[in-house]
Amino acid sequence: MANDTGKDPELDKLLEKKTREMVKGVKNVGNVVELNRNNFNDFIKAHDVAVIDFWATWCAPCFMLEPIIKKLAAEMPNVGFGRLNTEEEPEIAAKYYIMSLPTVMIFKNGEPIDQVVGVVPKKVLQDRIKAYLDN
Amino acid sequence: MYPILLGINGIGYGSFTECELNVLPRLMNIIDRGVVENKRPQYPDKSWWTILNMEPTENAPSNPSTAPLVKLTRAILVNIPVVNPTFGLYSIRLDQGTSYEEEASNVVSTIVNAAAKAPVIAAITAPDRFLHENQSIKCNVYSVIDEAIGSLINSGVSAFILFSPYGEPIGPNEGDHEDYGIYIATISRPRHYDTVKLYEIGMLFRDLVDSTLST
Repeated sequence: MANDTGKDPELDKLLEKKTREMVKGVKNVGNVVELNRNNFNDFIKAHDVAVIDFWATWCAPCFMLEPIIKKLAAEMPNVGFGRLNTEEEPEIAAKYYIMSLPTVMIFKNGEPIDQVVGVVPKKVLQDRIKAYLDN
Repeated sequence: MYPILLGINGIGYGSFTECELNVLPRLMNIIDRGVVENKRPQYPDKSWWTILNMEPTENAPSNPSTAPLVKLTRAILVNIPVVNPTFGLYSIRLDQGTSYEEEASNVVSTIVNAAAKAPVIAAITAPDRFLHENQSIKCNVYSVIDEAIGSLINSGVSAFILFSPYGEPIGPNEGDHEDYGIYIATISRPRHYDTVKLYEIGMLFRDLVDSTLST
């Protein structure tokens, strides 16, 4: 039932559940999902392991890292890969204490468990992510 | 040697790692770096006029030699793609008639000779000429450019700005590129936490020439 403010809490819950199911249902086909305040939390919670690339347009090394993230996304279909523009979403970057760019943060069950700062070889990043898939 | 402004139309940082380059990644780790921002559609002539005029330019003036940046720096122009064929000491048609190896090699040797006499503003157009139609040769083109930059640096140049006015070509249309190009330079930028705009590149080169000639 809608309350006085016109909001329907049950409908909201249903929509939230549906959104999570949709995110889970989306097959990772090598895509890196563009994240923002509207989908960030759902995304990190919807994947057992999620890898988020925090970047900015002025950050040259961020562009060097981009193809590495894309390749990993194609090779690791069980992992959710996303990227967040820290200029557009400074609150999310601040929440996770992102001090340097690029920073790749690994989330497990919605919680941050590791991070890699700067451009690193693909294998280094891959091994770090794999460590959390095996656990 | 006098300062050099070298633009390479249509390269981006992403391929530095993808193509496992040697010179450019090392260079960006030891001198100032940034990201050039130029939103689609991006055309070579308008982009370069904006640099030469040091302000956003829609309508192309007639003679690049009279552009403010050229007059202020008294620079020698090499292969500037504001017209077709390109303008300057070395000139080619903006098609695939000149190979990327030939263009890179000739632009670098022309720069080295010219920079002994005056500041130089030069361009390499190969990525734009070849990669719109054939992405499979991308790393070949990048490797040739990487080597050319290496030989330019080894020739004794010490003051330069290396940039791309826009990122890599996307698809077959001339004006479609990634929005972000490279900026690697021996002159520091005032706002590190911001992208470099095209008109600023002209201003930065003017400042680089001023500071080099005053010391």
